[in-house]
Amino acid sequence: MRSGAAFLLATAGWLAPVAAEEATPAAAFDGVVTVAPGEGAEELREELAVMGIAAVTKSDAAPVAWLEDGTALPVEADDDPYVVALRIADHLATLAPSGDPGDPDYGAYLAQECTSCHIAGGTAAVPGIDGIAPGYFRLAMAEYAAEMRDNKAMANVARSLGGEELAALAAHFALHATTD
Amino acid sequence: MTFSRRDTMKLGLAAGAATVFAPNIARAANPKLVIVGGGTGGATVAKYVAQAAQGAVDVTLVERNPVYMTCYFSNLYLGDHWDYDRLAHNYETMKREYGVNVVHANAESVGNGAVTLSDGSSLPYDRAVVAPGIDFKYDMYEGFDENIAETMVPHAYKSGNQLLMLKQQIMAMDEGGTVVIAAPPNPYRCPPGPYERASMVAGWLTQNNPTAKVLILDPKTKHSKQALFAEAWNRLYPGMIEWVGGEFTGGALPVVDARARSVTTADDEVFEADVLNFIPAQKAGRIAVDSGLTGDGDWASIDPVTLESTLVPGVHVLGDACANGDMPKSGFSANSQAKACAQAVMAAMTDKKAFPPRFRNTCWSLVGTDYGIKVGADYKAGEDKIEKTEGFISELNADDATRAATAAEGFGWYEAMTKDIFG
Repeated sequence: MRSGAAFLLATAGWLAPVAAEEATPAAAFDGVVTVAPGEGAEELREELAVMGIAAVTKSDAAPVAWLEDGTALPVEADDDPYVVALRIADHLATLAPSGDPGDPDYGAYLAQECTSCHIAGGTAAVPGIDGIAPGYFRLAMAEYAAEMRDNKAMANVARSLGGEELAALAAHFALHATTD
Repeated sequence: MTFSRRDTMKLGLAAGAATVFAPNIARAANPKLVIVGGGTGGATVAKYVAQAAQGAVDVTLVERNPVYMTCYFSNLYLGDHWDYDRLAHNYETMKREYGVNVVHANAESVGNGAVTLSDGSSLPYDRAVVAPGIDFKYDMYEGFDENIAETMVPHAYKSGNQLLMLKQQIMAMDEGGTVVIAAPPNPYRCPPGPYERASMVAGWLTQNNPTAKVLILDPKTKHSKQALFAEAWNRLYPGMIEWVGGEFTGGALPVVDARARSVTTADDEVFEADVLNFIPAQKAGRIAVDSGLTGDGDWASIDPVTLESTLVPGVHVLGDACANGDMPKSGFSANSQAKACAQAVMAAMTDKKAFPPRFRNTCWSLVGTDYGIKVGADYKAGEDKIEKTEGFISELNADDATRAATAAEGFGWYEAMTKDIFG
């Protein structure tokens, strides 16, 4: 787990097109991108997904607690979500090396909170999270925080985790991940 | 584990330098943690410290009973959905897998570096954790005491024999009878507990004694998840459950007549029951009071970061017995506090680092086995108490699927929580 979450602000109605051939996808980035809702947001999200970048749409476009470095990349306007996605990917590639690697010892303490409800292997109603992949963990937290997943308890958990906590948990899960 | 340089040299001379740091010598000098109370809070500390210390701390757990019966979900037994044994958890894994020394004995007091047991022996400690749960303030009532609770009018608020007695009384009640549940004043263990109990009892009565009633007498003017319970009762058990709040009781239920099974309110109104479940006002478990941990109050005052007593250094108090700030007294809270306490204890006794503590509570109440409602929040250590950060509660008018999913989640929580502690 090298990189942390980044917060991106993508507004509806795109400006400043970038030539596709100039941009490079951010293969190393495994954080979560937040996209403000609006026309083209879903398409942008899909394009990012194809590039292996997890993205969620949040109704609250202000920077969120788990913003790692305070960076918001203004994506002015562009008609082509694919091009915007490439710009985002390019930006993320520059962020990745400096991302918070996370303290796995802190993550181990934080993960004790999970085991109050999440048994190894899971139950009928509460999934197991042992072996969870760090990238998927980040995506799930972002989706709960944005209430794209419907669970008030988990939304409360996800919103309580700041950038340092998310990075620490991801680092902890990276040590025990059994899936990609 | 502090040898002075001189001690080390002496040992070196006596035993030969090569054997000075042999493991058996290191083990002999292990710091000692003694935990009083093997309920949810105490048992969690025992397991988590033993797990983190990997043999570098001697962990002793003093618990009166060989088997722990959870209070949480005991209402499922009252509703005849769970066998009593399903609430039972033992200490075998804790002993075998984690090397916790479990001593089944009565602890009398804690302080000055030792826990004193009722047989007069004592267990020395470097750090102690006290998690005795609750005791009852019987002296607030006329006509109600421990003996009456054990024999005639159960509080059934610590699981155990009184829970069995209450269920037998409900099942034997005459057709069309009234079960009165007298709820306690704040603060008390499991804020939604009396109302979940009313729900589970009503569920059984609906099937087996449908003209019976459940009457909740409350000294409080409002209660946990009130609107959600009211909505659910109207839906699942229409007309069966009545709640009489503090405006109508005068804010207290001072008199009990065990033979007549009646309760007299502060406004001198008498309510008669066929089955009376009287849940009295509460305070910290006896050993916390006897050891000076509660001072002049009912609960043990603690540092919100380490859960160490503000009155007795070296002794940590957690779970229902502590003055837990904004947190409710619940099993989930105790488990959460125990994990913060475990790392504080480790940091005090070893070179392990403690991180800023986090606290969480989530509480599922089952109105029916397919109808769950929940409330929860996260908390942080504030200046002088544990403070709420953000919370949530189930929505009113949710659909059946949501209520069923919430109930199922509650069952999943019970399985995970008990495994987290005892598994």
